[in-house]
Amino acid sequence: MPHLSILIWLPLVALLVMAFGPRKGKELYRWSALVVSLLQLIWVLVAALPQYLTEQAEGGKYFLQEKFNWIGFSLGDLGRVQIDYFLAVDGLGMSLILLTTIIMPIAVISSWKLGHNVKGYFMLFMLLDLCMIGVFCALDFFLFYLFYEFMLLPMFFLIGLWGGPRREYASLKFFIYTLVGSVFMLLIMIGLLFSFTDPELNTDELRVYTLNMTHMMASSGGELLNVVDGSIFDLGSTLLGVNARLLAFVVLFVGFAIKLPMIPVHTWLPDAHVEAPTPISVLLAGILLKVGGYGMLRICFGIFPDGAIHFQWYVGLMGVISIIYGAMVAMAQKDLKRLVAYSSISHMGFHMLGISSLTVVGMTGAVYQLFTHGIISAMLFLVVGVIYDRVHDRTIENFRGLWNLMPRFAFFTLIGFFASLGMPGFAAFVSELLVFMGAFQSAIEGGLPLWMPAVGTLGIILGAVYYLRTFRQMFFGKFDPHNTSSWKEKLTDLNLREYVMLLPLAALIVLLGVWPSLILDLFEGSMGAYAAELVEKGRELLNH
Amino acid sequence: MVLAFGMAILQCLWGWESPIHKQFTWLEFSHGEFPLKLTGGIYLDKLSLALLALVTGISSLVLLFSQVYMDGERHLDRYWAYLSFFVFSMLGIVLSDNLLFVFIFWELVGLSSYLLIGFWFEKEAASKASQKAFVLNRIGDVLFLSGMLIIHSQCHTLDIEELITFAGNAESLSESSQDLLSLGGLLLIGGAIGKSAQFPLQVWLPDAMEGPTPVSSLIHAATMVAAGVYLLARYHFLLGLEAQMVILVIGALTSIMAALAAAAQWDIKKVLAYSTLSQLGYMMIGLGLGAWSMALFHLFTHAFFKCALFLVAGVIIHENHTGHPDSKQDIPPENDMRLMGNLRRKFPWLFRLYLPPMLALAGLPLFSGFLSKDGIILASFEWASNMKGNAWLIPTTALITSYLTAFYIGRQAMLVFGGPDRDMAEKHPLSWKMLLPIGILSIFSLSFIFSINPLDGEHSWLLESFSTLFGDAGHREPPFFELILAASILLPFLGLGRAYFLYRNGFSERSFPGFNLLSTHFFQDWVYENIFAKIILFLSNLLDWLDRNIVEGFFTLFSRITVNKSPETDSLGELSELSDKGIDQGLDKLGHLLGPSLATLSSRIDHSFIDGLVNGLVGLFRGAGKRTDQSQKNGIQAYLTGIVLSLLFMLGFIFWIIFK
Repeated sequence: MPHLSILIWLPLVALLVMAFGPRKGKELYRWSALVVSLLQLIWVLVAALPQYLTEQAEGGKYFLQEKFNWIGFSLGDLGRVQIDYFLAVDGLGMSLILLTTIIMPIAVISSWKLGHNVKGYFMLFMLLDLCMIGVFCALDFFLFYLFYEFMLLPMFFLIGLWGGPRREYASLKFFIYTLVGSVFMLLIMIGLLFSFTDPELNTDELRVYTLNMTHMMASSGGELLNVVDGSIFDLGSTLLGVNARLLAFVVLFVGFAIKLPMIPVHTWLPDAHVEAPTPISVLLAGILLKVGGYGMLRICFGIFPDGAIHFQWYVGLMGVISIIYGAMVAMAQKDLKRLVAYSSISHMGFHMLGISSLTVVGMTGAVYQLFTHGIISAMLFLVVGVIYDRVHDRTIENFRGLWNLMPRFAFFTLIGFFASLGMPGFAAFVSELLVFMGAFQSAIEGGLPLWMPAVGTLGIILGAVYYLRTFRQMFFGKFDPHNTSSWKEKLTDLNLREYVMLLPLAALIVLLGVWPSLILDLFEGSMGAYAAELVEKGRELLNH
Repeated sequence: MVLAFGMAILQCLWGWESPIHKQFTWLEFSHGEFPLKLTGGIYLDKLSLALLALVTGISSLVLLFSQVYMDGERHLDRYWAYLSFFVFSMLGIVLSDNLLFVFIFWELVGLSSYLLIGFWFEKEAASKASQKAFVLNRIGDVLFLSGMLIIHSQCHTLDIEELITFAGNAESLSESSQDLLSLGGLLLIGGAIGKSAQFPLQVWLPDAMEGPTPVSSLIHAATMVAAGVYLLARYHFLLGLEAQMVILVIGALTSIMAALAAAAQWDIKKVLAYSTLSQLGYMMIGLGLGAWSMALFHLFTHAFFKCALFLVAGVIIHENHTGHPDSKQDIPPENDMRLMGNLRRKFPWLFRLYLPPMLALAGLPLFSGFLSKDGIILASFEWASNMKGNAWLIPTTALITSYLTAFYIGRQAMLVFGGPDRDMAEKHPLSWKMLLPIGILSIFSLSFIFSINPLDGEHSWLLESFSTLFGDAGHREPPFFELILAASILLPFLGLGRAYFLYRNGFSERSFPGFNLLSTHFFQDWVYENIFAKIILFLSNLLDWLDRNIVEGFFTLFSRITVNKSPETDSLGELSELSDKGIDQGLDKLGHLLGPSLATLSSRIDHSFIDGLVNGLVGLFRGAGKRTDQSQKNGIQAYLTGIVLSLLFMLGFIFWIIFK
């Protein structure tokens, strides 16, 4: 069964069906989007995941493989270009696909009350769904790039057309920033195309250039296996007087760092979140940011492992800066949504710290951090949405004593906040623990300097400060209907739809906090092998 | 809870002699140089069994007491839920067999404490106190976490038995890894400082008194705050000599500072809170001296008598809770000792039950507090006699503190139960549910429960069983043994006497010099709130400003250069108007917008890029947002220009790569 293709193209079928539907009629579009996203989730749980596990038990690196020759054209004397339709996953990709299919139905439910132009909205939604799954399993660089780019378009329109008052500004900014990242990636892709050949198709007369990532990653004993001698990304090639591979690493890293986002290329994120409608924020924080983290590991670290070793110190530094800067700025926010956005930046800093540790524990923890942060930030943005739906205000100072007014909502907010600040018993603790475990181990073994994880832990304290301040301000104290007298009636406790969204997320957060091996056991082997191999190859290549 | 206590006792009888150790695997990684294996499990030996009995026993009593105290409160379901959650987490700390799970439950205890302090969250003070407690605890916790991870990176295990083995072979390690191990031990102290409220993180504990009084007695006097002492004693083999020295100094400093502060409080609960700090300081001194079992012994005796004192205060607050118009300061009137007096007459039984724990705290012979306190003082003298330099400061501090302790508790007794009548509270019988727990705790404040000889704690059954565990038994006989013993007996009497003469006529406004300094605990809070907190807030606002204006500025500059206009203005305006008409129409319209733009692009690149660069720079100097150039209005063109520019750049790059 082509599991991955089914997962990717299912939304496309829905999209095409929707395109011929009537303009009016919300029900049809909502329900079909929900059914499609639930089908994906069920498919992953019932079919793809068991198949994945069976294949994983048999050994190997990439599972659920589908590979066809897709585009091939001749370059005359230079040779031939062969682009594959190559889908496969390992622990890294599969865990993020699982995350996507978990978040997707919740985002659809969260869009239930959408007022206008439901048809267009859900069409874009399906397009986004397609791209997000595609990006996590495409192993051909060209295919990856297509999905990556196509993600931009629906997101741009979803923010720009359904967003808040300054949506045009925010969506434009989002677009420009991520476009810059894509352009970087395109440059590298073209360089890569002319640097690697396909060993299966190559003959003595004909060079077959490829964008297959597994060919680019292949190396042994400090030699790249499929590289064209003297090409731009061969070992030792220089560009503008610097090592071309290291330069490519930096350029790609910046591209993905914009997506993650990393300080100082993060300013699109708070604006995009503030203007985006709730479900779009959920997708943005829950999945789209993870594409940046995935790209760093799969593309930057995977294809240029020598760069990963060489720039370990800088990646760690940027991670620590993101952690502290994000947390400090979050503390100063007055808008609840901006606060959560900056806390996302801070938490993605933990991801960078984890991957920079170059230890199996730290890198696996960093991937798990993507997973847990996906669930938790989705929940936090839903929490913000609950408030905003009722009174169209998110200013923290305007709320007081909500605990008595909305006790059940307070309960879920408490779970969300404490999960996000890394309380044991909730999912994020485990990932942060692993990240710091890796970072400290790296520090002891002479990788990162000891002060990096030490300063990073300050982010945990700052997290407690800004979340508790916010919680105290909004939920503690007495509700004061002074100039907001109409609020009291509006601020009702959760309704059924909100329960349906929050309850599964909260349950998952607690379950994964108490029993982390539930998820980690599935993917840890494959992620760990990937990380270990990457580090080893990187060392060899760099020493060569 | 009573059931749990019963089980704990049974377990004690059954497993007292041989430790039980059961494990399960929590997380396991198969790859990497050092495969990661994190286990969870329980470890039962004499220490954890004794604490198990202590926690469940005191919890049962406090829950019984709460039934009356909390009667009629709103949201009682939450109260019981939080308390049960607390007991669960506390037992987790006691039973866990490894540092990681101790840490997990450690933080959960912090969470339950946060919820309980903030139980009356409508009160501003309570909500602030809960936040403060959590954040200060978190600082300690983060140190604990770092220490734990450093230890893990050295030993690749966190299990107590494996750690003992590892620490036993520490000599065979290289110098740098020994250094790291002792750094890890040093950082563990951070955790204990947070949870056991030691200098400099101790300021949360007095504020934590905003919680309901039974909570204060259970969590903030008897059990949770003792967790730090328990942690350090249990993992004492990780502590090096420097670490012990640090503990010693911190303990001594905390104990004397808090004892001084306690002497200048008017709030009945605050006295006890500072007293708890001071007594925890004593335990820390014990740990610092290496007298592990003595510190734990003090933990036990203290848990009983301090819990009893808090419950007595709870009764008084409960009975006074009618509200009194004459509130002197920001102290709630029912807590204000200046408004109390001669309660001995109104609640004679309460007074009788109050005496044993009070005298135990003062440290008089025949009461439990004397045994453990005296043990620590003797140990400190013995330690000082082996050291040089300023070592004598520690035992002196301990002695002065013991005088001060007797003074402040005597002062409290005189203010509350002695002196002239005041018209607080009606005389009426108290509920047995309140008196029974206090009575039981009072009995446990007597010395014969722990030791037959009222002057000698060294042969107490509890202490001896701990000693066999830690192997630190032995008769302590420092030089001038009799003299020290006499001083440690006499000083409490002096303190009590001084309190009696000062307050026999009830409260007087006449205070001693430096009262203000003491009552604010040396302005420590003031410094934290007005200096540290302000600095952090300032930094946070500064960074936020930078983020909005400088980091953001790059984007504005970039867009101004390429687009020749600020993106702030209406750019997608036309598109958004269309949104209601359907996305397909919008896309049509987009095509229309793009068509002409593409046609004029080539000329525009000249204009908008080159001109824009110049204009942008000029505009930057002229100040933002003053542009009047309306020639380029459509924002879609902004990114189109961007795309085209990048495409050109890219094409150049490709050509260069191919034909270089």
